[in-house]
Amino acid sequence: MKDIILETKKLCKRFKRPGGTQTVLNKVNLQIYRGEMTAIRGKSGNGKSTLLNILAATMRADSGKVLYGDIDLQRLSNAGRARYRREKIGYIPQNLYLLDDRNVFMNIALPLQYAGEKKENIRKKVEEAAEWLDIVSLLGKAPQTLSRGEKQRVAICRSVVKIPEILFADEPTGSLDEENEQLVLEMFQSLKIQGTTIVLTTHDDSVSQICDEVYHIGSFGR
Amino acid sequence: MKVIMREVLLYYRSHKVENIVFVCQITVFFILMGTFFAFTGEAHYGKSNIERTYKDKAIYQLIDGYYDPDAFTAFRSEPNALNILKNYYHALMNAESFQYLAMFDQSITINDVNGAADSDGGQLKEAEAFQMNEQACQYFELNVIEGRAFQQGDFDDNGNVMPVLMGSSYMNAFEVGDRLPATYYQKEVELEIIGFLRENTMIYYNGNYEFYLDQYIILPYIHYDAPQTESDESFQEIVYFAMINGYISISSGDAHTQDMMAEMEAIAEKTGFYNYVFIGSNPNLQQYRGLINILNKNYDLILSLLILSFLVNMVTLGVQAYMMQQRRLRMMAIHYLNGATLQSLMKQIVMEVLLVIGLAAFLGWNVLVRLKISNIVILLIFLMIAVTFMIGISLISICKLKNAELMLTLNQEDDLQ
Repeated sequence: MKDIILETKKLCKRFKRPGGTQTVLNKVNLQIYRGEMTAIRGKSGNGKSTLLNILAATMRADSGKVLYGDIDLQRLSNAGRARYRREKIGYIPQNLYLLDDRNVFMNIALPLQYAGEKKENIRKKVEEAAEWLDIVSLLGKAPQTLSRGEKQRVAICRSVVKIPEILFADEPTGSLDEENEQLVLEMFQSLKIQGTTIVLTTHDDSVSQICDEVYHIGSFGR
Repeated sequence: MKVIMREVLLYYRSHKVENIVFVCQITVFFILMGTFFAFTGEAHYGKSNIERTYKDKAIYQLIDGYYDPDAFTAFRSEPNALNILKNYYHALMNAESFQYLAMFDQSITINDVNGAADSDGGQLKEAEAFQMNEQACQYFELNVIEGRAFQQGDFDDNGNVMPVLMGSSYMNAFEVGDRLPATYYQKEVELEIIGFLRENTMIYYNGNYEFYLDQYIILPYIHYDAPQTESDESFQEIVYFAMINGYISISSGDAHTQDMMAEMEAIAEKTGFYNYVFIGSNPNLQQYRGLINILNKNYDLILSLLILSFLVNMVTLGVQAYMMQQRRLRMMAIHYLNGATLQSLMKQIVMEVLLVIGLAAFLGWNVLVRLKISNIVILLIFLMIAVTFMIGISLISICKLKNAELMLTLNQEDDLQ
């Protein structure tokens, strides 16, 4: 019996555009199962990133429910949603967006700082995560000096450093070469083995193939 | 709060140039505003001062007729000369149809200054002095910025101690309460500084509406008691001769002029002093109108420049703050998805704005203080603009943050996926 960790019910989201309103999500129902890797696929503009953001509580839907257990994320206060982001999830944005006002170590430490971790714990956890992703040598560097593949690994490290229950990744292999893409997928599989639920958006068939569930957004069904 | 402060400092450290330019721009804006307000205030003060003093007034100059040294000596040799002069002066002071303004500029010798420095930092020997009677001080409403103005008792005979007001240029050289030994009409006196005049204090003197007293030591025309010695009598004669040379101010109009002339004749008759001359008949009105016109034009020009400069700067700074904020939104989105609350991001924005505007206000105010164009009114206006700025920029930024779908800012380059 598979355990549902996240579930959406009749989820709708529209955006105001010049000249009218664009419906991006229309009554979307989906289930994310604990410990599985789920892919969300669809054409550009079909709202994959929007759905990911709603699941990650970084954006609110116009209507519908997003259930994390019994809790409807849609009805949570801003503070409650921040707590959910802080304690339950990790997020790898499509453009990575490392903060260029601090070094790699400080970038990775960011979610731990917001979680109120002590300094010594932060150091220990960052070093452990960096070791696992083989980026210890990058910790003192400025993000601007890193290659795309290195940045990707740093972004993954930042999102997993607090060992999240659910990891969201927006097009994680979108702009990587084959070698780096393979490396990232291995990391995801390794995380999955450790029990992390992974939700990602992708265009890539090779990524979909290793996922347990694949949702095609636009057709609103599996 | 610790996290917010750390983030603010990291932001400033990594955007040094951008923030320094922004602080400089706001500082310049504050200095411009402060300067403009100071000028506007001065122009308004000057205008209202002149209007209050000269509107519907006519001023005549009164001088004694003893041009000939022999006649002067002959008059002084009369046994009752000092009493005539004193009676004549007191009658002028108590006239009902006019105000008598006794004024005279004459340098004074400061003796044995013991290191006291003049406004240029040198040793003070000869200083420009300006003597005024009580009515003249009240007429021109001399205001002090430190100490006190003349009071009635200052015009009484207090022996050798003479209270004086100093022009504003002496502010840094002396202090209220300082005493300076001096020679006044060959009599040794001690000048006690009771206050410093407001900068750009001006009066009407010798046909000049803008006779500035900044460089002068202002001496009161004392009502001396009966002399005890011959030298004292001689001293008082000289002083009272100076005191009966002054200005007569009346309300404009022929009837007032006739009343004044009649009272002058009656005073002459009563006191026995007939040898006086008027210079000019209502000579000031045209000049006054011209001066007021110039002041009005200047005032309007300054006010227009002030408003224009304020608007241009507000728009420029607003656009700049908005653009900086736009760039910040993406960074804030990263913080947001890593666990920051909207509230903590708003606090961060407010903190950043407070520090930037606060620093700019501090720098701007210091420049104004160094330029000596600061006063309590300017400070209040300054604080009002700074607080308005802080609230305005904070509110705009917070509204922007609240209304933006933060996460969309991360995907703006790629549109919706």
